[in-house]
Amino acid sequence: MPTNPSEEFPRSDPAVTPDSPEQSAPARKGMLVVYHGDGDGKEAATLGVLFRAHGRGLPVRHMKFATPSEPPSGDDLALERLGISSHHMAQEGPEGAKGLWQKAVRHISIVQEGVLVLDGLADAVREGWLSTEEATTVLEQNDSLLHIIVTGRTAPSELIEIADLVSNMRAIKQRDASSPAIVGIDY
Amino acid sequence: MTESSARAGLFIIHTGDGKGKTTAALGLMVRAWGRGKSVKMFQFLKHTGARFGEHRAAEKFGLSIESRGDGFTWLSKDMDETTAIAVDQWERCKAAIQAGDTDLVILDEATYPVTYGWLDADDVVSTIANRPPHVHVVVTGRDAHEKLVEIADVVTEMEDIKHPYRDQGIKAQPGLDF
Repeated sequence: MPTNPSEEFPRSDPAVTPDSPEQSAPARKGMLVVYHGDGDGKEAATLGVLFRAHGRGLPVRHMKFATPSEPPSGDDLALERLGISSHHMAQEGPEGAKGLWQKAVRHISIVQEGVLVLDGLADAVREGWLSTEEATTVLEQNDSLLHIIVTGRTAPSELIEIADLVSNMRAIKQRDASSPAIVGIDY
Repeated sequence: MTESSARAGLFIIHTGDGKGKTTAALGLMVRAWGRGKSVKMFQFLKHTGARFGEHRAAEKFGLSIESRGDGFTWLSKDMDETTAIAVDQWERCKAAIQAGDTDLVILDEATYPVTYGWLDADDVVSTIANRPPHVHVVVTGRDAHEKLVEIADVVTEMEDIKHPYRDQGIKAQPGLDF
């Protein structure tokens, strides 16, 4: 199937020129992506990645290391509307985190492509609900085409170490702590 | 988390050298759409008619993403045309913002045409500053113009800690990067 240049490679990023190594670099690879930091946009970015991959017909799965919010969040509603399966922790704390982590481990061992979002995993690890070593061992061993996206406010250095892509969402400007959260934007 | 009656539209900027700026804007679009809000994304630079994952998904779910650009902007030999495309796209953005019937208007990669001077920065700033009060606007791209940052409510810098193209020579991945 013929592809136009934009399809083959997106030139939206001025840092990427035809001289960049990506042109000669081979092939696809499942990436480990970490979005962390104190700024807005981490969860939004995971939603964006899911949307993209879903648009390409790839298998996508969302897992959030938190108990479900009631009423459902905008992200829950959006994922449902998109037809993307989403899992939460069944209960707060280590038991809940371990239960969800087992689901993630299973997904990684079975599904060899697409995107798996592990929202808040970095924080669950920092809370001590899961051991860093257990998490990094599984994530590092993924050699399929499955992209794994991990978020949290502060990712442990061991996770940064093994990640392929890390962006730190830094709050440059924020609203007052007293401003109300906005439906459809913040949650 | 209560809804305020004084609630007004936000102006949000995603800037910085790291990855995730457009991606997070897409997420905001999807989140608002999940709440039944009306949303529109306008992309600068990206090829007119680009068929990235986001365009395919948008088409499938009836969301609007309009791309207008020649895709090779910084290599363009015909800057007049590149500028004209950006100006034309900006006019569409402006109309969407001012009409007030779209809750969230996203101007993806819009920092570049402002920085390069293809668009009048003052026009962009005053259009956003004077928008209908309920309209949210998101601008993405590196090196956001200081006048834009000044009027923004929320600015997140996506800081590049590790970048696979630069660090490992890995190619952009369909479904992840585009």
